[in-house]
Amino acid sequence: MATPEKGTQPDTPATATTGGKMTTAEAQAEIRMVDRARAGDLDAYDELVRRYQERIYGTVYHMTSNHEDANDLVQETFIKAFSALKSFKGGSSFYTWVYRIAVNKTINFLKQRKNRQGMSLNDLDFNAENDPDLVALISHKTPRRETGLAELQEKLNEAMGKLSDVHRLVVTLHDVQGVPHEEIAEIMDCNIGTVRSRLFYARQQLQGYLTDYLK
Amino acid sequence: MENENENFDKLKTLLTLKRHELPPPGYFNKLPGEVVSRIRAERAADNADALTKLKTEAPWLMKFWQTLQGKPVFAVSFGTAVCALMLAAIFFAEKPPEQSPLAGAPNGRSVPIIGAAQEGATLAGGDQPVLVATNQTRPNLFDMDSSNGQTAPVSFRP
Repeated sequence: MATPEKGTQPDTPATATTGGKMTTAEAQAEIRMVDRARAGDLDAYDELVRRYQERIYGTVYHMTSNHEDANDLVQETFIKAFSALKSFKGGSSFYTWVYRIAVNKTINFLKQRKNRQGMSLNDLDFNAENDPDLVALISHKTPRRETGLAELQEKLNEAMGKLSDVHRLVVTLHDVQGVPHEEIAEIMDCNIGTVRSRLFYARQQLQGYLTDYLK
Repeated sequence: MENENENFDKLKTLLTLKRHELPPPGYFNKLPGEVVSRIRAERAADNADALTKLKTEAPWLMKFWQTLQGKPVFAVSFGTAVCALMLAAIFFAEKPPEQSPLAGAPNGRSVPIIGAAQEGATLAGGDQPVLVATNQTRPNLFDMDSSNGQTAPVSFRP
């Protein structure tokens, strides 16, 4: 999953997840790859999928909290993107364009999934246990000292599940994946002020849901 | 905003836990292959749909195609016939156009063939002349005399 490097500042982690600004050469290489994919070259499209799959999967997974659903949605996203490549005019980056498709698909899916709230969470990697901030959070600052990372993970996902789709999306994109406000505004087709206000509201809500674990 | 960030620091730390949630090992190695396979499958399904549509709209064509597939001799004969037709079309297309004699020529005169200069010339060159050419001047369409380079009505009387 595309995650910012450890130690990245929470409010400025954009480069870690988005891979930073592409150089001109990289951008041109990507345009050529998109052109080849548009002409039906599946090898070129395979390369594009490899390039962006982790970020797209990350967003969809954090939105759904379900690996199987995320897997289906990511595959559908890339298939839809391939069939719609002819309509891609290059007004935005390919990455932003695919992101929009993924976000729209995920939000539509979540609207239809209202009755089924099953979570299928991915396992935490080994680094989580060694993260001093997280260890401190569960062993010293939490009233429930017996709380393990797995339980904390479940509570966090439950709390995120209580947010509205757009609020969960903005938290996922910014606080989890480190996408900058400007890019989120482009993906969500709204202005930066809206992104900031949604982020503030979503954090407030989450803080309320997770009070016991944040003392 | 600075205060807001400070207030949410613990929450942000907690949210970093989400970054450690990883899909099963090898998942990202398989995903592109699965996507490409599904795209190929959809393409194949689209082609199959086109065939189904053809079956519905032109059943005679499908029947004919099945006949060709079922009887190789018939397929070879059909192919040979098509080739022969094409060759014939090419052969006749390269020949200069021939004008047929004008039916109902005036004054009962025989009608020459354009391009045939000598008497007794035949088209096929066989024993039986097919079309005979004459040296007579060809009357024009409106029966006008053009021997001195000027065109004047034959029966014109001032």
